[in-house]
Amino acid sequence: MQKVCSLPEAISKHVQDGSAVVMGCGLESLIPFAAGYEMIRQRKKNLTLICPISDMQFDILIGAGCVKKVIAAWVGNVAAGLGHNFRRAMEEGVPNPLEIEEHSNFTIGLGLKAAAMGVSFLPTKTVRGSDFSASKQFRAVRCPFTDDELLAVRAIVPDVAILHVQRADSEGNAHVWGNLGVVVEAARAAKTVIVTCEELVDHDVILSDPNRTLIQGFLVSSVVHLPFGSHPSPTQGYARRDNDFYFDYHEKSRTREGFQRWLQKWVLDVKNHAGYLAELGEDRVRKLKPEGNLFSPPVSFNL
Amino acid sequence: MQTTNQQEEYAPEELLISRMAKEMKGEMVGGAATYCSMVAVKLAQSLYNPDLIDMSGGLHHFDSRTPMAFLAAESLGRGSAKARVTWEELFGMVFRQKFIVWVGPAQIDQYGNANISVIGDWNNPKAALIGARGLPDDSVHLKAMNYHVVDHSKRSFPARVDFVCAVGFGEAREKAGVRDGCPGVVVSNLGVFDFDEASGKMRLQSLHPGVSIEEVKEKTGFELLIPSKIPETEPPTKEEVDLIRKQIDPLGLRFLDRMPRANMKDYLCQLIQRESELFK
Repeated sequence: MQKVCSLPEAISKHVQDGSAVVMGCGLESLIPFAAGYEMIRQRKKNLTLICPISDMQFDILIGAGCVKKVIAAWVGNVAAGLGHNFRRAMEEGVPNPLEIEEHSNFTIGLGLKAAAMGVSFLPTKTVRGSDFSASKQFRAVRCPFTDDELLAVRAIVPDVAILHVQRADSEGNAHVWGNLGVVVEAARAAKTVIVTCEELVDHDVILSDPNRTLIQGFLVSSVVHLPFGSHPSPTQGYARRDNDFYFDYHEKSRTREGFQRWLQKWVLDVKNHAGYLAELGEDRVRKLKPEGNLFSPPVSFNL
Repeated sequence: MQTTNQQEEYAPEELLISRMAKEMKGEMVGGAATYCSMVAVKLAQSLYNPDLIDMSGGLHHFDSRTPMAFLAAESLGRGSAKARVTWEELFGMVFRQKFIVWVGPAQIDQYGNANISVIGDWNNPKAALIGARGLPDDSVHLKAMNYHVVDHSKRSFPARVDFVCAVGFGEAREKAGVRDGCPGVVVSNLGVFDFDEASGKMRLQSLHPGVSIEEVKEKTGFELLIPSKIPETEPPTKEEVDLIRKQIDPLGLRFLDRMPRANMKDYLCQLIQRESELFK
């Protein structure tokens, strides 16, 4: 099956208005920012965004008016503080009111895991006693064996998972490392998976370390070769975190007008990912590439 | 550059760090969510509990042994991270009660209910904060919840939190049959507090040097249990202060917790500059 395609093709094919999209599953790293920017350029509407720590990416999409609902345990800008667009949406309904399904760090993963297992909920002891236990995504249930009270967490079923990885082959078998968060749960929970990768590699590279294939090709619908596709978030071994970018965004997005100017400059005017990298400039991109090499000793697969 | 007053033997932050470090016992993971408590994990590791595992650098820096870093956090794992943990592995440790946590709540009330999600009504918030994160998990599964409240006031110590993210003592806990994760120690800029298990109410444990009982009462939105004898919080030793300043936090991240917003930008600029020299 031909899975390799361009970013606009992948987004236009798999993300529809109203889709539920899980992205940013590697917590502060591996956030597929480039895919988010493309969703804005394609003027996607009424999206449901899912992720544990949404960081700056959800804030941008909220400000751009793409989002109807957020399912998360944290919305903000991890380095710089609160998310201004998130606050404007929640407190003033600007640019549109936002529906929130608030989870704890554990239940967001458990909801995805339930979807991955094909069950409609999974039980846990967590959350009980807090004011969240009355929320719609949670329900008190009794254990059929012990009669103990447990909390049922409703399955979270994304239409699409967008996952940025270090390397993948044309079938979508992906090697990924670093801070993984709920990457694996998300890949298994979603109906469709888009992989964006730093390197598109030969199948042999995947076969050389099968333990590192955390996303298996049969789960993946589209593969996009997208170096620096996680900028400004880091991809271990390929891109450092661009801290200045986070602080600059935090400052600019303080007002609605400031955000709109930021969006124009970094998303709408640049047309595509190549244009975005050009706007960053060769010098900045070069400085964000890790220097030297830090390999682990090879693993023996001898039989 | 804001640093400690050289005339004084220690900064208020260093007093808190020393006190928090003494709570962290056993072969446990120290999970810290304020700068001072992150320093406290490293201090405890250096002086009192070599078995303590430092998780303050994030999930992929399991037991990093470098000094405190701000922007260079990504490189902390280099050569000193023993493991990386996924979502499921991390919560495996939480369910095994392997974490000692220090949370910085926006609000904490008389019964130790804590809130970091929202100010005002959840459905119509006055201020939408960042979300509940791990509080609903930790307050059910861990041995205890410890809190570092950076600014002691009637706003941060209200009679009742606006929204319960971490369940304290009282009816909700009993009704849900939640046994673990009870409120433990609360450290603020005025004093140290714990909870009377029988009544579930917050109790003054010690006052920081120079703080009066009247000031604490005036800045607390509920009636504290006050014991007849109130000790003074033990000041940090010279060894602790030296270690904090020279080895653990030479950049001064500990001052960020209570930094006024007006000073923040300049302070951060200088900090980042010095950090780039330290980690090169």
